[in-house]
Amino acid sequence: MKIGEIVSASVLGGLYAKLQLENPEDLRIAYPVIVEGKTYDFYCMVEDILNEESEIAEQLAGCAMGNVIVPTGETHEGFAGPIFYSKAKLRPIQLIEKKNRKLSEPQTIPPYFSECRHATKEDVELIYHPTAKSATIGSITGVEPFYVQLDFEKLVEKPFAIYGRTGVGKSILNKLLCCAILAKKAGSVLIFDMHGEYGVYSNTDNTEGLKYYFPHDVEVFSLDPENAEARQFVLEPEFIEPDDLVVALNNLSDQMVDMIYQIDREKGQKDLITAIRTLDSANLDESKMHPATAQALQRRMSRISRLPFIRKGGGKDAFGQLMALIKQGKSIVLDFGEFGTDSTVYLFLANVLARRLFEQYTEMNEQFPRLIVFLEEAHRFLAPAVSSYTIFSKLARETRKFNLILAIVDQRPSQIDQEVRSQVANRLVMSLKEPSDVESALAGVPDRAMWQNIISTIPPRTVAVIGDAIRIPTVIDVMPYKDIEVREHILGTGAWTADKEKELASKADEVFGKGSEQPQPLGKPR
Amino acid sequence: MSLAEDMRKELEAARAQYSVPMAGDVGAGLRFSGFKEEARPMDMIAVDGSYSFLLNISSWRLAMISVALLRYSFIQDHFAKKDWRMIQRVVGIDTYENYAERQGDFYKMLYEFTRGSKEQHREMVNEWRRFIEGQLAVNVAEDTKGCIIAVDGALSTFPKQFDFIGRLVEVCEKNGHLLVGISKDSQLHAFGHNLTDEDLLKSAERSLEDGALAFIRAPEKFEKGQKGFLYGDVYYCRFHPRSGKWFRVDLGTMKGEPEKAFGHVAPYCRSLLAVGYPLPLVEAHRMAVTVRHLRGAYQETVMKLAVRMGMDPRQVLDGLTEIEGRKRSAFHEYLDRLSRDRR
Repeated sequence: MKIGEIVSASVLGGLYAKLQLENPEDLRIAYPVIVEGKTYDFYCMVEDILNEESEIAEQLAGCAMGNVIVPTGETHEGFAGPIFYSKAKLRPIQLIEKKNRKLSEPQTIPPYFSECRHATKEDVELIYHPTAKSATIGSITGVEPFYVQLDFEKLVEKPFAIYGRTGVGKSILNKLLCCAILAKKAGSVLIFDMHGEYGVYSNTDNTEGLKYYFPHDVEVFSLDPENAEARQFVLEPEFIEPDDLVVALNNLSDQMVDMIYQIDREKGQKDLITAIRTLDSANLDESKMHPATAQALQRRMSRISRLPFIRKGGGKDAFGQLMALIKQGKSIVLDFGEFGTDSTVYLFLANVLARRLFEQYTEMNEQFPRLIVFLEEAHRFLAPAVSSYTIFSKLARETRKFNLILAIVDQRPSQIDQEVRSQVANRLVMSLKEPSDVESALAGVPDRAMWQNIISTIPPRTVAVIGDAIRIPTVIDVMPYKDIEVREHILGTGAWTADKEKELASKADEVFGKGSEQPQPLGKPR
Repeated sequence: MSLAEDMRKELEAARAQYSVPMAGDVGAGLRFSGFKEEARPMDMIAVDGSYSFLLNISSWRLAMISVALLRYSFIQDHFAKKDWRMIQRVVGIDTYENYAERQGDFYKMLYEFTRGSKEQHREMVNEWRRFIEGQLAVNVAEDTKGCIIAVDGALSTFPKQFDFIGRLVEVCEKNGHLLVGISKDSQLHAFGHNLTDEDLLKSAERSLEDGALAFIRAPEKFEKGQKGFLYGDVYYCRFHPRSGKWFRVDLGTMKGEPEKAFGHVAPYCRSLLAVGYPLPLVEAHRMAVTVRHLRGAYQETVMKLAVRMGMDPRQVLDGLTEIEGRKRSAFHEYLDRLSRDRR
């Protein structure tokens, strides 16, 4: 359907279309639009929609009186379309040669009065070619239902980031990405599962987790000794290093940080936790350690000292098991159980695990398959003040060559070290409002001004994907995280039907025998 | 005498002549008639034109005339455009008598009719524009039935030989059209008052019921005294209760039933864009005046053609005109620009 005509154009500045829509609300930022030039179809994205200043409109506004018809696109058809018309600023993204449908970069402009129309599914199909490792996370906004393909092999080749403020659907996007990575066998994932969302079923909304869809490819570890469905996670204290404590015990004074390193140097056979706990503050060499600082450090440490999963396990350190599983290509979900709301535990464990993973991957790279570490609240590890103590900035910079890929998930990209941000090859940016976050999330992106407008205005559950995992930067309506959607669009197994349920149940009967006469519905265990 | 005293003296004179009492018997003798909007108005076909001078060499001028026609339906508070036509013609005008003598009858007639007017070149193009408007209106009135044919201005015409309005009235009667000529501005004193008709009626409308649509017929002696050949009955109409203006309306058909006729026109006058004036005429005007907005493009074509034909480019450049036909290179144009720029 024709929506307007081009009235001004510039390769650098973009195109302006005079809209012939009765209602400008029918168009939205980031909708794909085709401008039909003579030689090319210009595949564009709506960058802005505007009602320009008008002297007459200002004169008439507020003058409405009885029995008078206010001029709108719906009431007044002017000689050349609506009398008061809106304009759309369009940004050409690709040129499609009319003759042979070949794609090229937009290095020219269409003639005056070139017609603009909504992009159709056929137009969009020319742009996004599926590959063997591609899957979708949603449909393209404005051309529903067209499911855009992301190349997951490319996505997980280098560090990538998911940015978005709280409540816009980062977790759903995360889950879809994990499902797609596993479904396409692009790599394995390591998830720090703070809220029990990735196991068999989600604790928060009862949706299916990774273990549900990939029962043989996913192993769940839990910090919670009561969780019988998962492997116990036990951390031997000797593996804890000063940096782990500095990160976990946020805002330590410089003296405390120095003291941790001092204790570590002098701890002898003890582990660091025990060494700090048993420090005799009354008999310290005050030239090296101040008693008041030691007492303060011990108070701060008491929380970590009491964590039940840090214990001598008699060789049962879970990390060994975890690495063996990763070596087999398994994905790992670390369920935090009752510690899910304790950010100290999260910071501490994520750092310990990532450091040890880094060591293993860099030492024995060839033995390990590609592993993607999803790091939520990434700014807490990657803020300039703490990033030197964590392994994550190294992980972002160096581990691409070692098959260990960092996936940053965060709502405050401006607080992440700029050097780390610059390593990110693909960005999946959801709604952000804070201007500094928008700017940081899009640093280095071509047409940044346009993307800033888009990111500031896109609704929840919408993501702008920018990077080499997608043919062109695209705004995607993230699909709902529902069993039927995941099966149909990511797993490619089709919808879960009653017949399939019956078939699976019959196999279960073969194994376990019939428990009761009446078949029970597939229950959700939690 | 100071400037302020000069001003006071002139204002005194104007007050004596035109000032309107807040309450009183202004227009006491005027007899207004009321009417109501028709629930299902006929489609309106509106015709309007415009022109733009492009080139001026000595006393010869080249002008572009543009006439627009739009057909609208009024359906449930929606002005729906149903059809349109646009005619553009390039005409040459020379106010030198010798030139006119060598032209055809139509040109000679135009020349004679406008002879003696202050800016004859403009008058000639204006009449030419009206002629094209009339021709187009006749053609469309032939092809359609039962519409309002609304033309811009009075239903009068110049010499009988080119009586397109007479022909238009005939066709409209034959095809059941309502023919109206609506004047945008009228500075006449048809009612014999010091105030112009529009001002007089505006002052007198206090006597009307609030919200009433009304009309009043111009005095008979005024109609008889009109220049040229007047075909319509002359009325002044308030098509909307909040209209800021009374418009002169010449009624060409349905002369016996003005209430009904104006009732068909009134719904088209409800746009906030021009309360009291038919929207289709607004749009026909907007469409026609594109000839002025695009003057630059037309002049470029003139330049290219003239140079290709071997004309002296300096002469052509020097002859490019402003809209009303003044040369751009005229010295007072330069002074005007200087005054605008340096104020």
